[in-house]
Amino acid sequence: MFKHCILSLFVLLQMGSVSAQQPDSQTIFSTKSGIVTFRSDAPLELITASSSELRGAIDVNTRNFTFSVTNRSLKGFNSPLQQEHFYENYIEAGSFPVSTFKGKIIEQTDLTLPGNYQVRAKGILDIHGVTQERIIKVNLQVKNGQIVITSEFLVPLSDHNITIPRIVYQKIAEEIVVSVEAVLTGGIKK
Amino acid sequence: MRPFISCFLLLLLSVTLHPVKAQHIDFIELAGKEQLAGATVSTVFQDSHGFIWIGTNQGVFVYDGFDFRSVKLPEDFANASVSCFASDPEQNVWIGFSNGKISFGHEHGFSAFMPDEGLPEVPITGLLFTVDSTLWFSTYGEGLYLFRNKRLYNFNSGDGLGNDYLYSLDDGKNGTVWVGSDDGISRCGFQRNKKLIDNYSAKDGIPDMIVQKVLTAGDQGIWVGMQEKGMSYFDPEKRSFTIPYGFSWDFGPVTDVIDYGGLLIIATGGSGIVELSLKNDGAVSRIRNNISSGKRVTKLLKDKEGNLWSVSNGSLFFSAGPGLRYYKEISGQPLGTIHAIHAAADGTVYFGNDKGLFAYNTEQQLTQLLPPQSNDGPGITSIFKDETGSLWAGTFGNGLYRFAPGSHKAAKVTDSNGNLNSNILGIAGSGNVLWFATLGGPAQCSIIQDDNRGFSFGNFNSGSGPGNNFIYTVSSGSNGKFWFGTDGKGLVSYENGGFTFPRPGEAFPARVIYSVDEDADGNVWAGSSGEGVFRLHKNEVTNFSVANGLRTNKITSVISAAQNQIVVVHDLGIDLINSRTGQVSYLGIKAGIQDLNADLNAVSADASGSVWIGTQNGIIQYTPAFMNAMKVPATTIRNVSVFLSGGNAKPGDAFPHTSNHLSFEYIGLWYNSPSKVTYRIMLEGHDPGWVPTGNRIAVYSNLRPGNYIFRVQSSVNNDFSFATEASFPFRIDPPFYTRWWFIIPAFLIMFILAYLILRSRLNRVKREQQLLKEKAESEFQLLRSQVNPHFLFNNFSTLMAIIEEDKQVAIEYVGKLSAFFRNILEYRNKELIPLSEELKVAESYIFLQKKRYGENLHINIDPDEKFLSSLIPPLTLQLLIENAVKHNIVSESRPLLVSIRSEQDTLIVENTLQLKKTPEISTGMGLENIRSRYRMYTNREILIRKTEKSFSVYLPVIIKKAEGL
Repeated sequence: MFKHCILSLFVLLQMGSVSAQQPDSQTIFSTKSGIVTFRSDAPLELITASSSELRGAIDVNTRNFTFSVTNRSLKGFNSPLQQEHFYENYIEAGSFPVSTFKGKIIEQTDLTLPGNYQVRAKGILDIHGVTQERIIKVNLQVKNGQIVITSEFLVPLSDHNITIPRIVYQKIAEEIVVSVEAVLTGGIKK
Repeated sequence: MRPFISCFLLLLLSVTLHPVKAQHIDFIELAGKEQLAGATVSTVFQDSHGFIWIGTNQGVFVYDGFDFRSVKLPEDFANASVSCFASDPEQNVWIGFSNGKISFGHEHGFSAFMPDEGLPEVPITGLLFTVDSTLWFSTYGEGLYLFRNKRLYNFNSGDGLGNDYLYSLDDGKNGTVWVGSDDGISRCGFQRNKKLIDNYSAKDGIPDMIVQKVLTAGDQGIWVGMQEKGMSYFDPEKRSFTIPYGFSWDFGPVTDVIDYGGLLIIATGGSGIVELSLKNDGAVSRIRNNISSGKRVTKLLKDKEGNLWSVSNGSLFFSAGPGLRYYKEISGQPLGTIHAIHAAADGTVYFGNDKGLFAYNTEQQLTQLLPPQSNDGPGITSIFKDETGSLWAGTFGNGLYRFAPGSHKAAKVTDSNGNLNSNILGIAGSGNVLWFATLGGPAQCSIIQDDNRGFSFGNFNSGSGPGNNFIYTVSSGSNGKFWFGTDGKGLVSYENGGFTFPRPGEAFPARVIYSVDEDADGNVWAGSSGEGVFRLHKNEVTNFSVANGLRTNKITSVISAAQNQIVVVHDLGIDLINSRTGQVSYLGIKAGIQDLNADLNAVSADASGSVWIGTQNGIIQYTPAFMNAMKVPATTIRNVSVFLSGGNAKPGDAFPHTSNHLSFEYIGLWYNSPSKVTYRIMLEGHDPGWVPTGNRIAVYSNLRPGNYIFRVQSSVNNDFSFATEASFPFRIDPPFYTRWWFIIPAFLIMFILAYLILRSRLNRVKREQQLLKEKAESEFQLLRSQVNPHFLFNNFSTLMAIIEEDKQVAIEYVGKLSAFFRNILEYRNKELIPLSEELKVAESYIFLQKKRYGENLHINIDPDEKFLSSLIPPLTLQLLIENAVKHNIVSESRPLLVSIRSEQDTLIVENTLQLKKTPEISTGMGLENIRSRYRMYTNREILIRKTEKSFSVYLPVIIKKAEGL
């Protein structure tokens, strides 16, 4: 929990630094209740889990972004035992309580203008304490002072040093499908 | 004095480095909007097979030397503008587009490259594969991408890249790449998921921040082509940029660079093509500029033959590259026919034409040394600069001139002894000895330094030498030898103070030798007037003629050049012979090197490895190092289709026997002169040997099943010993009914079937035999039973009694008896008889029995009318009645009742069962007989039903005789 606090603080600081670059802090859109869903479609078992506690922010001026989710907020699974296994054995929520993705949008899209945009978010994906640079396709809908983001991408477990015991090999997919849905609000408040 | 010299040198240098328009690479426009369906060319590329790919604003074309074929791209790509090409290790071609898309494939089909991460929205400016199968691509606006292990990564300014606007990309070795951007150059690498980025820009002293082209030099350094300041060389170890020339660049932005090894060819955005000749220390020794392919050149390509292609103003241009320069005029003066040429060690080229003798120095200055020598003759016919620096010029009919070292003033040299003929066709020298080839035989001149006159002439037109003959040429050889080409005695050498013939006692194979030169290996090459070229190796003479691929046997000049090449000049052009392998090739046909009509021996090799060739229209400079002139056509099979369907079969494919009509499209790519390429083909498994052909397509139809290899070789001169080969193995499968997996089971099935048929037939025969036997037996039984004594005795007893009582009845009885026996005789051999007849037969029997048993025997015959015409084996009913009477008690108290009736389709013969106490001896043959006879005619069995009170036999009614047969 302590680490979690530190991390959250870090995330906030990150946003702070963003706003330090851009004094106009009203260009930041953020959410604390985005939905992130994990889906493991293995030959023998389909496992899904989701969290509605995705926190994130986008600075539409610099196109920097950061997103994080507390691993223990992921709920669902096929049994409480499975959920506990996930927390303890795979994601090791004790050591790595938070998964994050932060970086910058490649396209020089003006996100202050309403519209639908498909952009590529280039950033560092940190899961299970292992970072990977990723480019992830994201749909952004800018409307009514909100940014609605949706995205789906694959996370190979091997990318993040998450090893699966042989015995459950057929029950857990090697690549987890992660989908994200979030409504970011804020921005220009005058 | 010293400052003056350096001042002078500086002056000279500045003059030297001032670019002049001359002796440029001659470009011809190959493809513009007309050839490319209105498209504008943007880039050009050569793939691993050798095809030239042309990127335009409306798709992609492939050029094979003949046609521009449009390549089908995925739908969304058709109208995108191509910005760059690359080829991968699997020989796929990759195409980058200005809309950020990337496609890959081959001539027969392209696919879109679609990484999960998505593709840029900005132009792709470079595509590159590095050794570890990593695809790199630079973009104009999003930095650099790399694709490895199915994952796309991006390098941009956020990662520390100097700038996101990249113009160009090149391999930096060891898995790194160089990029040029709006902020200098950067080296990027990606190892263990770590990005390595080194930027070199203003702080490192880059002359111009905007770098449009990076090119890795042979020595780890980088050539940097800039927007305003031209070229600079970057040394990564010293982190220093150097501009290799000392003037300010005014040719406009550098758009592309090609390193020919010591020569940079630079495409510029405003002044066409600029050439920088480099010295060993990297400094520029000569600059040339030409706009023969337009002023705004955007892309260059050096192909595998050394040809140089350029893209300019939306069109594609072709040239033979810097290896072939054609000097038709110098400083605006047309050169006309060159009669003699000599390239001196200092780089000055002396030549004689109809206007006199000229010197053309490395500073590209032309100086006239002598005026025209004759109005009707060739004038200057020979030029030679000896080791002391004296220049000698021989004329046709006008004697010999000499220029003292450093002097531009001519002095006529005459020999008071008359040893020197005034027609001097050739001059050669070694040390202080000069030899002259004249129309009055060979003349020698010793240069005597001490003597006032300096020269001592001798003539060798004696009988021991080549005699009084015309001597066309003289050439100095190794070991102090001199070689002479004579008119009448072929090749003659002078050594150790005397003339010798190459093969003592034997005439040289050609009597007239126009030209001689010795190569670096000591082989002597001689060009003859009509027998081609001869190679003298020790005492062995080898002839190269039309049969070996030379275009003509009338040789004007031969001269040895770098890279083991012998340059053979004749009226049709220039042929090359590899002095070691004997391979023959042709020089610059497409570039216009033909119909030369050159003068004899107007050739010379300079110290830098170039050969200078005088022609009727100026001078050709051939530099083997800048070309790959001996390259043979690259043979490749372009398409294999079945039934001309246009499909693209793959090597090793197996075709069904119905698809046995195959066509092969192949080509030997040789851009020097595509139409000169000929082929020989062989379908192994079909053709007994090579088949020569000029076609680029071969069709085979009705191929029988089997294994085949289609092989094709291409050559420019019908000599296939150096040819490249392409082959295509394939198989035509035999039809299924000839395959073992069909034949064996089919054979087995047939065998089993035959066996079954045979067996059933055997069975039937056996059964028929059985039936026949049974029939015979039944007949016998019948006969026996009918004539059995007991029956006769009974009948006679009855008859006796009747005779007493009633004579009339007795007569009737005997009549019936005889009728009965007649019936037996009559029907015995018949198979089936109508029931009505059978009943008549039975009637006579019944009559007889009735007479015997009287009312004790009741026989009731009542079959259905419709069965009367049905068939029955004869005597069946009689037999059954007889059986009934035989085995049962017939008495007054227990009368025997026999009924014959029909029920559905059966005839039933039933009798009351009252068996005798002592059973009659029965063979059991009777019933069995009936049963087996019925089996012959019907499938239905007879049924015997025996209850306590009755015994019935169910006989199936046989409607037709055919039934069951």
